[in-house]
Order: sequence, then C-alpha cells, then structure tokens
Amino acid sequence: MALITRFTVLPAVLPTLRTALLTVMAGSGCSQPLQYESPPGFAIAEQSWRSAHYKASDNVGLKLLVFDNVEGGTLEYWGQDLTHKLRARGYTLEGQSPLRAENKVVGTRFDFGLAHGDDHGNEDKPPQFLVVSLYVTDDYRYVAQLAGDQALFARYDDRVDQLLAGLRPKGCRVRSTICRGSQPPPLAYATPIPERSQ
Amino acid sequence: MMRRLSIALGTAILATAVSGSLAMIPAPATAATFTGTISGVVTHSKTKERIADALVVLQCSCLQGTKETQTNSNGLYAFRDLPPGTYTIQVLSGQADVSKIATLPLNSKFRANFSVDPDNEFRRMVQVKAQPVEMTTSTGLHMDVLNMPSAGVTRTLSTRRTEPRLSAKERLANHRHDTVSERDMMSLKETQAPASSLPPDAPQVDKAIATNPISKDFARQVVYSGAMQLSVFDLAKTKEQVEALVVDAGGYVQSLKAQTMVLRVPARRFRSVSTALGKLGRVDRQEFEALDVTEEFYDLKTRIEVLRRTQTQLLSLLDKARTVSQALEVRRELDKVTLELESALGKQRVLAAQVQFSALSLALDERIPQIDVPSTNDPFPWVDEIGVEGTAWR
Repeated sequence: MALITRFTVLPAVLPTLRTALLTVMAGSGCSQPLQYESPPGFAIAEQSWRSAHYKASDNVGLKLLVFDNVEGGTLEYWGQDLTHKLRARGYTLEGQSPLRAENKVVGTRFDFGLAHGDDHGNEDKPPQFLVVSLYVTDDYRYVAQLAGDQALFARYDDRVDQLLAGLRPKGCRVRSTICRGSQPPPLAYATPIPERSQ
Repeated sequence: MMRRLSIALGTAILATAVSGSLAMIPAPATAATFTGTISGVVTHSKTKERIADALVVLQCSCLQGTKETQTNSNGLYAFRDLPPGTYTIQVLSGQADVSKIATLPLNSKFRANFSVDPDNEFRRMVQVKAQPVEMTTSTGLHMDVLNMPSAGVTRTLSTRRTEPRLSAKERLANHRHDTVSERDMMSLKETQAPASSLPPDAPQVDKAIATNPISKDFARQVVYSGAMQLSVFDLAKTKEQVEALVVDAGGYVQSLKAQTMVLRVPARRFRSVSTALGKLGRVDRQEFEALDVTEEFYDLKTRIEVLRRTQTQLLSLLDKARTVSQALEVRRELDKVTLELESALGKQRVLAAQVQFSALSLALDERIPQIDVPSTNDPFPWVDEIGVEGTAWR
C-alpha cells in the first residue's frame, strides 16, 4: 500500500518540486545579470534589475547599466558605436585603455570630457569628466559610468579599477569569442563633431 | 429467474451502450499545438567527421514558407513544433546538395541523418516513409526514425552523382534522359521551392534547372531582385567597398545617389554578394524576390522562331515575285514581320539580362546620429541612456 502511495504521489509532486527549485534559483539571483555591491565611499541612490546608481559625497556619480547584446555585437563594434554617438553629443574622447574583469571578460575604458557652454563661449557650469567602462558578453553589454566635475577627476582616475572590481559580467557562452574579443581600434578624437545644421 | 436474467441482460446492454458512446466522444482538441520534430546529424561521407554550419532547409506545403537552420559545431540540426505533412529536408554543404522527402505523422519525432561529401558535387534525393525505427537506404544513407512502429523505405526516386562538374545545360540534357516515372515526377515536383524566399546561389539555380519537371522541355527562367538597408559608420568608405565588391563579382553599379545604390549582380553570385554586403554594416532590412518568367521567356522564344520562319518564307516569296505590285505587297509584309521580330528580340535581350543580372537596391544609413540626442531612426539608441547627464549626481 505504501509503495502504491509513493508511486502515485511522486509524479504529482514532481512539477511542484521543479517550480519550487526554479523559484529558489531565481530568488537567489542566478538569472540576474547585474550583481554588484555598492563600493566604499558610495551610497545607493537607485537599484533595479538591470541598473544601479550610486553617489559619492562630492557629487560624483557611478551608474551601471546592462543592455541586451545582439547577434554579432562585439566589444569593437559597441565601442565604436558608443564613441561615435557620444562624440556627436559633444563629448571629447581623451583616453582609451583595455580592461579585464575578474572573470576574464575583456572590456575597454573610455575617458571623455564634456565642456558645457553656449555658442558664445559662456560657460554656465564647470566641465565634467565621464569614464565609461564597457564589457560585452554574448548575451549582454555592461556599461559602468563614473561622472563628475573635471576638477575631481584626479581623485577618481586611479580608483576606477577598484570600483569595478566587484563587477562580474555574465552571459558568456562556452568557447565564446565575444567575451574575449579584440579591443576597438584607437578612437581618440581631438575635438567633438560640430553640431550639424538641421 | 427470468426477471434476474432480463435485469442482467439490460445492464449488459446499458454498459455496452455507455462504453460505446464514451468511445465515440472525441479526445480534447490539441490540434492547435504541434510538437512534431525533425532532427539529425550531418557527417562527411569520407572522413566521417561531423559538419558544422551546413545549411538545412525544410520545405512543406503545410508550412508558411520555408524553414532553414544551420548545423551546430557538432553537426546537429533540429526543427521543432512542426505540423504533420510531407517534408523535404535539404542539406547544402560545399558542393553537396542532398534532399530527403518524408511524411511526418502528427506530433512525431523524425530523425534524418545525412552523409555528404562537400568537396564533390553530389545531388541526391531520397523519399522515405516516417515510420521506421532505424534503417539503411539503398543509397547507403543511414537514417533513424524514432517513435515509429515499423520500418521500410518507400523508394529511391533518383540518385545521381555528377563528376566531373557539368554545366547546367549538360545537366539538363542528362535530366531529360533520366528514366523517372510519372509518379516520381510528381514527388520531385514537391521538392521544388518555386516561391522560395532565398536569394539564388549557383547550386540552387542549377538545382532549379536540373530538378524542375518543366525542365524536361524548358530551363526555368527566374528574375531575382532584392533590397537591403544597411547602417554603417562611414558612408563614403562603404560606398567604395560596395562598388569594389560588385565589380569583383562581375557586376556593375547601375545608379549611385547620396545614400542609395542600385547594383546589378550576376544571378549566380547574388546570394554571396548580398551576404558580403551584410557584413559591411548592420542589416536593418532585407528583402528578396524571385519572379518566374519562364512562360514569358519561352513564349517570346517561340514567337521569334515563328517570325524567323515567316521572314524566310517571305524572302523566298519575294524572289519569286513576277510583278512590281506582287513584290511591293510581299515587301510590306516582310517589313511588318521584321519590325515585329526586332521588337521581340529586344524584349528577349532585356529579359535575358534581367535573368542573368539580378537587381539589388541598397540604402545606406550613416550610424552617426544626426542630432544631439539620437533620433528614433537610430538602430541602437542605447547611448541615449549614457552620459554625465544621467550619471553625475546633482
């Protein structure tokens, strides 16, 4: 009788067990692309499934964003896309260097400068810096941004690696060529593109 | 006693009626979801190694259009959620072009393994019934069919190895001499994809000629055309690359405007050129069309032959004319026929050029945004969310 009960009950319980297991896995963050703890000196301002925003006491912000990658999207490709578009928005690319995350995913750091001002050269606020660290995996694009007043750049320049130490980009497939892809070519532009007339 | 007997009899009749009526109640309808699967492995016939990236095309009148996939690094392919029907599974790898025809019952699994030689041209077509568990066909093709009660090959339609490589004309001539029965021809017809959305490539065009039932008398004439839209970083550089690519393929640039180009590419290189063009940027839109002009082409050909014969007859009549009026009358008719013949020849030349050279319209978009904030036309507006504006803390 006990045997009959066991064989009758087990198939009925299996789907429930599977659902419970999946729920536990999802709850523990197994499927969450962005897992990052706030770095020292920064407080959490906003955090969601695919983005996190932190602030420092000197108004420097750190923002992490995760986007889906598309078929054929490489670090080289997205690095060019990013620099072209930021350049068109008035940013000046001042530096570019390779990165490597703890889990061996390669990335690129782009240092931008942004000078605010109107057409007559009157500046309404001081220039700012933007450090964009880009990692590309088969499934995702990770963008870590650090921005603040240009005067504070020296204070954070050497801290970028430390700030990104806890970031482990996910979404690498077996024998992936994307996660260990080549670096974008040097994209150093001296000046931003002048705004086009409409 | 009799009462008991009648009660027992009545109960038995009732039970039979109830069970009979229960049996007649149809099972819950599950036709909306199909779980049929066709899968298999593609291996090299000589080295026995598994072939990656072989193109596998699935055709069936039960599908809307064709389905295609490529084998993975282990040489495996699979099509899932298939409705029941008669399927043609075609494998293209290098020079090899092997097809199998199989009938898939409702929600069944069918496994078709292919053994091909990509280095040699090898065209085969085999019809199998999707009922065996495991079998080896008369052509040496190993084939497994899972979850089926019995085994057996229906028949081998045609198996042809063409070595060395023959021209399309020679193949057509060979095809005419093939002893293929009427019933086989019907099955061969099913393997055609006359309205295939795929752009042509040399083997496919040849296949269309060699396996088409119409080709017993006529070679199929198809005009291929296409349109592509690419997003590129550097417009000027891309235009130069496109021009070089088309000229290398034996084609030419028909028109060149600021951001659009019309290219004429040899039909046999159409697919490879469009694939190469896709690598120059991001493909935002891609459309290909095949227009079958076989009927028009051969109508024109017949009309030209008739007009030529009429012209010859009129010329001989002109020689025989005894009077000026007779000669003038024949001359008038001759002029009319000659004009009509020239017109038909002109149309034939245009049609032949259209068949030989496919037209490809290419629209290029520069991927640099036109305004400060990337517009909605930007294929990747992700950078909208990036910048000090949203990062620096205020």
